[in-house]
Amino acid sequence: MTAPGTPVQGVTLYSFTRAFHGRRYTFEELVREVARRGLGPGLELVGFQSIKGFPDVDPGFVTRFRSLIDETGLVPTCLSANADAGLRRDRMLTDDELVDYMRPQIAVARELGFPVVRVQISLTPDDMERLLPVAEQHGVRLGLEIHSHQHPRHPRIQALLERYEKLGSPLLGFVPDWGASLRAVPSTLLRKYREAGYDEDLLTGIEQLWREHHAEGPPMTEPQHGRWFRQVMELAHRHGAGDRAIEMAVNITGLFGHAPASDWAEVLPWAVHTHGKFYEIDADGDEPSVPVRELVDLWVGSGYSGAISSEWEGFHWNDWDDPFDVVAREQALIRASAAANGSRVIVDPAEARRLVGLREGRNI
Amino acid sequence: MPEQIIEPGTLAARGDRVRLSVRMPWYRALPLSSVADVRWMVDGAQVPRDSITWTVDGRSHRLDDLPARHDLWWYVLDSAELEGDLPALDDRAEHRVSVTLSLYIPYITTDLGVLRIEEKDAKTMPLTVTRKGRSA
Repeated sequence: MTAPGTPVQGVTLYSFTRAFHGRRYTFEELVREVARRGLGPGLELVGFQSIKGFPDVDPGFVTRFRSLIDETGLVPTCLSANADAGLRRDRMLTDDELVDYMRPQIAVARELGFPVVRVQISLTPDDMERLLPVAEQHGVRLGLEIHSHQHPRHPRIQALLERYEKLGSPLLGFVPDWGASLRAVPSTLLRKYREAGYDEDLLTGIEQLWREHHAEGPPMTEPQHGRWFRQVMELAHRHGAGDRAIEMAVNITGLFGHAPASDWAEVLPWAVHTHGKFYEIDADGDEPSVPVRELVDLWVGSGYSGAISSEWEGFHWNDWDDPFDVVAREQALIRASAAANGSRVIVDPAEARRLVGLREGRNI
Repeated sequence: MPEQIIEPGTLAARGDRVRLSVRMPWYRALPLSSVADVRWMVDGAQVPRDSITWTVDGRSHRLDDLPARHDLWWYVLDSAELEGDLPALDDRAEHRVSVTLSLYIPYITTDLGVLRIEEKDAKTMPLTVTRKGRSA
C-alpha cells in the first residue's frame, strides 16, 4: 500500500490577478502579502503575467526575485510558461517554432529558482520528447497542464502518458488542474449574470446545458467540444446575450470540466505539480463546484507529496470577495481534507523546500 | 474583466484628434498580433477605424499593422493609448465613451480555431481639451 502523501501548501499569484491588474499591488507587494498571510510556502507565478518582457528577463530582476524569496522564506514551486501556438495571424507556429518558443521560458525558470515549468496542451508528445534535453540541461521538470476541456482520459493526454512511460524520465510529467473536475456551475457566476440583468431562462438554460454535457462525460474529441461551445453561444444569442456569448461559452465549456475525480488516478504518478483550482467557498467551508475533499483524498491516497497551488479563478466575475481570504479558506479545506485522511499538508518552509525545492545540480 | 478596459478620466482632445487610455481585459502579456480589432465610439459616433493608432511602449501602430507584430508585446500592467479622428460630439460636460476590444488568445485553440474574445466597456467622463499643437 502506498504511504499517504503530504502535499505542500502554496498559491499561484494568478489568484490575485484582479488586485495586480488593478495596480493595487505591485509584484513584490503581492509576494510579500502571500508570505505575511501564510498562504505559502509554495509560490507559483505566470511568467507572462508577473514579469514584463518575459521570457527575456534582465539579470537585475533575477537578483531582486532571489532576494525577495530569501526575505520572505517562500519556496518557488512552479513557473507557468505558455505555449502560444496561435502567436501569428497568418498561420499556427510549426512544431520547430513552438519548441524554440519554449526554450527561453524553461531556461529562465531555472535562473529564478523554479523546479517545475508548467507547459500547455499545444505541445505534442514529439515536442515534449524534444524538450526533454532542454529540461535536463537546466535541471527542471516539465509539467504539461491537464486543464479543462482536456482531462486525463482525453486522447491527447493519453498519447502524452504513453510517451512519458516509454521515455521513463522523471523530468516529464503533468500538472493536473482541478478545474477539469467540476460537480456544478459556480453559484457566484450565476449570481453575477443575474445581477447583470440576464433573464432566468438563460441562467436555467446554461445550467441545463452544463448538466447535459456532464452526463455525456468529458469530451473525447475536439468536434464534440466545438459542438458544446456552439450550443452555449446559440443559447446566449437566443436570450439577447449575444455580446457575452463567447465569454459564456468559454466559461461553461472551457473552465468547468466534467472528469470524475477518480479519472485522475491513472496520471497522478506523473504529477509534478498541481493547480488546486477553485471558484468559491461556502459558509460551511466547502467548495460547492469543485470536489476538493474528494480530490485531496485521491491525491493523498496516491502518495502525492508535490505542491498544490491554490488557484482562485473566481476573479473573472467575482469582484466582491477578498482574494487573499478566499485562498486562505481553500487552503483550510485542503488541510482539513488531508487530516481526515490521516495525513497532513506541509506548511513549514524547510520541509517544503526538501520536498519540492529546486536542488542544485540535476533536479532528479 | 471588461469593466477595466477604459481608464477613467483619460478622454482628451487636441485639435481634431481624440485620445483614450485602455487596459487589457486579460491577465497576461499578449503579442500585438493578438489585437484583432478595436471599435471606439464617443457620444454614439464612431471614431473612424482607419484613423486609429495604437501606442504601447512609446511605439505607435495603425490597427492594420498590428496583426503582423507578433514580435512586440502589450504587457498586462501597461495602458495602450488610442488616438483617432475626433467625431462630432454633443455639447455637454460629460461624454459617453465605449470601446470594444477583440483579442486572440494565442495559447487557447478550439475546434473553431484560435480563441478570439470580444470585450466591451462603456464609461462616462469629461473631455480634456488641450491647445492644438504637435503631438507629444
